[in-house]
Amino acid sequence: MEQQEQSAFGRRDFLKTTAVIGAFGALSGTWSDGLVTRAHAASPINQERAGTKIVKTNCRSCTADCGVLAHVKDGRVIKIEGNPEFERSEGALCTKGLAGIQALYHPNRNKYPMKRVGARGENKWKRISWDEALNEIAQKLMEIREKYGAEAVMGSTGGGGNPNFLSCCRFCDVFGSPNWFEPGASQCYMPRQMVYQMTYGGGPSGNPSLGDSNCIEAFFYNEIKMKTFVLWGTDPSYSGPSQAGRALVELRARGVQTIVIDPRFTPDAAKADIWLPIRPGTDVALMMAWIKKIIDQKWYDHDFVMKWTNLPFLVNTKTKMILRENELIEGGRADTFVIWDTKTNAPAGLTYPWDDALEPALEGTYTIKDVEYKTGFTLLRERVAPFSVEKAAEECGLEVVKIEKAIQMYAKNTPSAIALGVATDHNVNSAQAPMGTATLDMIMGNVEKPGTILQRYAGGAIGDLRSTMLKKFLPEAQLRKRLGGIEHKGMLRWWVAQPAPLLEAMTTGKPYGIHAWIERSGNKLAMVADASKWIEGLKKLDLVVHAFVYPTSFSAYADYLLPMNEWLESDFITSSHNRMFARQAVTHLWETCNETFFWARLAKKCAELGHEECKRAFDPKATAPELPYFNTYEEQLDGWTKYFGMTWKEYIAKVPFDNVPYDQWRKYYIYKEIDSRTNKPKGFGTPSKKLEVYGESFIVLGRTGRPWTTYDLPPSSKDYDPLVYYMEPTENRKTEVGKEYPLTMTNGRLPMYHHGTLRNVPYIRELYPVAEIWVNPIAAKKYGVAQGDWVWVESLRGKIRAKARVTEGIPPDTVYMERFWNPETLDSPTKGWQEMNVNVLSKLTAPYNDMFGTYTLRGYQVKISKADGAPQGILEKPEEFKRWMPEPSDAAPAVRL
Amino acid sequence: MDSEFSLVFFTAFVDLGCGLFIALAINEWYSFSETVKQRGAIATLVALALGGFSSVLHLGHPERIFGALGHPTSGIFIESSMIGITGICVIAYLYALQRNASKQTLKTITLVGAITAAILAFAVGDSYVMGARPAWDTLTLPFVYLASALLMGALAYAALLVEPNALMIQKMKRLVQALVVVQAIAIIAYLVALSSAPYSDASRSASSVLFGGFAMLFWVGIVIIGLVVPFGLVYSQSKNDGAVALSNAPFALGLMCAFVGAAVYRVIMFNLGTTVWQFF
Amino acid sequence: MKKTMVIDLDRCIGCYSCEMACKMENDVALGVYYNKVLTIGPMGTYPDIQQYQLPTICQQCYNPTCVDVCPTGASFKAADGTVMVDKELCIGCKYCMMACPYGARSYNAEQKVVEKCTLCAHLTAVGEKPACVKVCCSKCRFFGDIDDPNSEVAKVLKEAGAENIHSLPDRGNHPSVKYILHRKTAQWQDLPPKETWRTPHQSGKKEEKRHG
Repeated sequence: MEQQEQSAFGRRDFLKTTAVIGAFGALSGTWSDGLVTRAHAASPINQERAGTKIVKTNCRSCTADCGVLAHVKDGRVIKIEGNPEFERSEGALCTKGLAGIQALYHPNRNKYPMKRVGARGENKWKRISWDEALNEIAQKLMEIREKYGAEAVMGSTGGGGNPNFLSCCRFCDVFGSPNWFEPGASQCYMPRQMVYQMTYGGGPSGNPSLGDSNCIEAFFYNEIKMKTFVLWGTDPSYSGPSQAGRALVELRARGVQTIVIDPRFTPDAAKADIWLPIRPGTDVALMMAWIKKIIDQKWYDHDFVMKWTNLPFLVNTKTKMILRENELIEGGRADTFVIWDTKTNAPAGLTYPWDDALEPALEGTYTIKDVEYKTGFTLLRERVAPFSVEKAAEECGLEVVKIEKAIQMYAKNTPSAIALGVATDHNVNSAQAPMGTATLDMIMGNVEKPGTILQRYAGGAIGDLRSTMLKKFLPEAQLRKRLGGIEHKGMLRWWVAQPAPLLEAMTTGKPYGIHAWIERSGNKLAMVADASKWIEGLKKLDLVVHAFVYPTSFSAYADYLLPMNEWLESDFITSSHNRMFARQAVTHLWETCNETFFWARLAKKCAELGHEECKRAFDPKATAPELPYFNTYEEQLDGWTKYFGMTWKEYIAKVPFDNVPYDQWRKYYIYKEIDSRTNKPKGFGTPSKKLEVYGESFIVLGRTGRPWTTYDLPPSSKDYDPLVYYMEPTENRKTEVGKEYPLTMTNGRLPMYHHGTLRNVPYIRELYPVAEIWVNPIAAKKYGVAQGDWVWVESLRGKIRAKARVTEGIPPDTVYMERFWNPETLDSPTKGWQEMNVNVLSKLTAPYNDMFGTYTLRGYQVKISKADGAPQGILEKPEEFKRWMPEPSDAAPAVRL
Repeated sequence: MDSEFSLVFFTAFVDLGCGLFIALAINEWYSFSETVKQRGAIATLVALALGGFSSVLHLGHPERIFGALGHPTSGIFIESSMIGITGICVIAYLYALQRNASKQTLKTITLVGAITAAILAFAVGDSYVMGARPAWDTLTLPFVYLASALLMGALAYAALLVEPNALMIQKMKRLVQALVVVQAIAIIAYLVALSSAPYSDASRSASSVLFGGFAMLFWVGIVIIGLVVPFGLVYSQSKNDGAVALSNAPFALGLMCAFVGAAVYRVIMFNLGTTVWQFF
Repeated sequence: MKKTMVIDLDRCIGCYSCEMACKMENDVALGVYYNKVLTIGPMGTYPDIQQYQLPTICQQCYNPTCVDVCPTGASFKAADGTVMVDKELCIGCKYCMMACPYGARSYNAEQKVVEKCTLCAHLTAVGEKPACVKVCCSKCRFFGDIDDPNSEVAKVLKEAGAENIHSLPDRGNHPSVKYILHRKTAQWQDLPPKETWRTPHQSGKKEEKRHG
């Protein structure tokens, strides 16, 4: 490639380098001494400031892209602050973002491509060039493809600070492998996103995930109409303090009442009007009780349900499909659905959007031509019938009075809204939970009104401008081979494979062998369920590549380590609501490479070795409407901004600017707008244009893969259920397992870590040095554990240690931990993933969620006992993290690939 | 807070020196012993010097100490100037002894020195009396310091006596025993004050001293070694009334014990000295 | 004039951004803090519990005992009312650390002097706000002249109402930093309850001697 000039920050000469170090050293002397107003009021600081350039960029310590002002002096990033222009964060920055400098200049960064020279896990490496690395990797990939098929190559990525989610998927599509995965997907966000997309049709961002930059309405707190906000399994104060957490503060300050459903007493729970500390994994039972109560009490918005949901439609109780007019009468329309008209006491097609001549029944069982039909509403009522508040209280470990109070607040103090967090993505109810919350908000009419969070602001989907999937490059035959793909077709949404069968294939060669793994994220071993099992699979592979920013436990099992950019070195299109921003390379160190571009170069090498599809992926005509792969980094940057009719340089000079004019962007009641083509209301983005509370399209998905495929796939073994249903966690307190393992494990975010990242950043580790386990005093007493004790935590899968935080902020039969690994023990037999990694305990095995194949990361059983002490070699005292303090280094030219 | 050992030794040595010089002043005024004067004065200087040296060890930037001259109201200024004045008095005393100065001169010098020494012995304790740390916020604390100075001074004086006669030993025995009682009363008074200190907290409770985490240090270090042993040692000297052992070794031993007791008290004091809040 | 800080605990969400930003801005050593966020609670018995977060900084006392005891004048009250340390005059006697009722001062082992929150005097001198105020995710921190009725801090306090304004215990030092906390959020604690999280012991420092 052409060398990419990092314009402002090219290599400095030696003298400059030392000058920079001097300047950095001087920082500690002059910036911190508090003499300013007296002794040195005049000069040094002002001079420093004068020589400092401020670059506007965006963070990527998590996925929220907060606006950042990077202060750069002589090519060195010396300070980062929040950018007040970035509306979502308004100048705030969280600890993860502030960690950027210590992460960037971390002494242990991956600096050059490295090739393993010792045995796997021996930690012996040799530096090689990028060219050598890519050639050798591509060569092996092509050999494996030749010998076992492209599906034997597996890719993976992850959310931890990942700059471009879909670049791994794109490579796999182009290479011909259906097998990429990430530990999130079925376990993070995809279920919520897809369920709302299919029932509401509000596009990729029309869903209640606060942590994924949705629920934009919550940010208009100055004119908010919202009255009640339910935070279900989400803790914005911890998962996104600078954006959603911040918005919540403003909403509460303006009198919005909040209900927090979370077993952990988070800061949001502490500030809530009602806290429901639910038993992990039982959320759907509670949702069904809410639905039942609201239906029984007739608190739902009757008119809205009649006119704008599909609940009055008649459903064939055998086929579960909704009756169409063309099935009822000759010449009827296939897109007109049938209701029971009470006026004529007969079925009738309901012409979209509404027919005043008809009086449709919302409820009832009817027989038409000897076939039994019920309305969607009746089916829903029947479905939730067993879930009285008392039953839910028992199932969920909650107080009846508090549940009643919460339902009343949600249903009476409206407009209300439910934000659904990642918690329910972490167990087998991953699809049902968003179906439950969608049902609630839809029957309450909390849709596209001011003050509700289900909105369709125009011009979303900025993500599509960047490197996307190339679904059409993956042959149908290959897609059919996707592991777990036929059974769990919800995964088609992200075009992703299921972790458990991938591991099975790696380990046993069944149904076919996986032979290579290219992994581009942090520490998979701290993120996947039942981590120990993965080692066996890893050891069987012919090729393992790890492309990341610094070595992690996963690196220990790899053959090649490829150095990737930190976010302060990378470029990307970003946005705050409707305003466009840019992440810009503020500096560049060593031989690190842009993640998106690395995949393109690997595809290029494969193309050179004769891979036709890889070659075609560089042809814009072949990839259209998606972007092709680009040959140079500049072309890639310009490619991204072509949509705006600008080069990258023009784009970064122009940001921030509105993507769509503000008044066109922010509009309510889109469904009521008249579509000029049909002269009818636009409705919702579903096949029926109604809110599909009765999820008929889930049945279609299971049988064919549509709407996420353009061709029909074989059906899954069982139809997906069109209505919310509850599955108790199979490993629970009441079962045999519960006798030996009496406590239920839950997880949840911390404000200083994003997924597996930042455990090697000194100021971050100082804040939270070791994995904590939250134990209620009752349990602590029972199991002989005191405040601050090291504790053994065991499940059927394994055994780890954590430090006890004895607190009333967790139910007596529940414990809480967050994912952890120890970079300090990488070079020990544990490789840093065995000491306090909660995912040594989690459950990879069936049952899975039917639609998404979700396994169990929360809501399984553990036991605890006092341990003698800390795991060997781990660091805990603040001073011990000194070894990871930044080693400032000069900017280096971009790598030549 | 941490046991600040440099300050423990600073105050213990300074108190020792002060007590000794007070004893020398009494010796001068009542003409008990001629031979003890010079060695006593030198020992005083050594104790003050050791104390001063310890305090310098405590400082991050001792070279900047002259900055203190501009702030005559600070505790450290008072302490250093008192050490200075006492030291000058001791040197003047030595000089006067050398020059065979008049009795009146010697009396005057020792009187002035004894007064500053008494103030200093009190002041090094008084510096810790502050609202920030409820366990220190009582005047009984500097009285414990003063009492320890007197006890150590008496013991040191007796230990330095050259071939003391039976009468002298008898007198010193009574004095030491009396001062042990004074010291004990001061400590009891301190514990009473501690138990009624505001913002009570387990970290600084009287019960933690008597029965809790500090009990071992307290009972062994302060009570047994610092009080009971010195008392017993001097008592043992008068077993057979007619034949008093003419050795002053028990006083020397008693001094060491009393010093340990004084140091342990200071260590416990530092550890009890938690703040109302401790942010970091 | 009294420059100080008002912290609204009804807003604070305990994200630690202020703590981290402070360390980055002031180059504070590992294990040393100018600004540490404590969790007060949960107090009560599950499930009826309450909790709040308490960002702790130098309380900028009206009658700073730390200044009174300083032998060299290194600790001083500046013209704008802020309590400062001139590190070049500090002899490192730690006397001021003893005199602070809150343990808000720290010893810089490298420079051998005492240091503490300066309210980012180097930033406010050039018209910026302190780093913790700028970075705060919940916008719960307010900086300004509490004696000036038109200042933001004064306005925030006025709006909060006297019954919701709290300060840490006064030992004659008269702290000027004010905390806003409504009873609805949690009951203000004059002294740290035993449920306080991230005490020195918990952050890996020497164990605090609490024998109760």
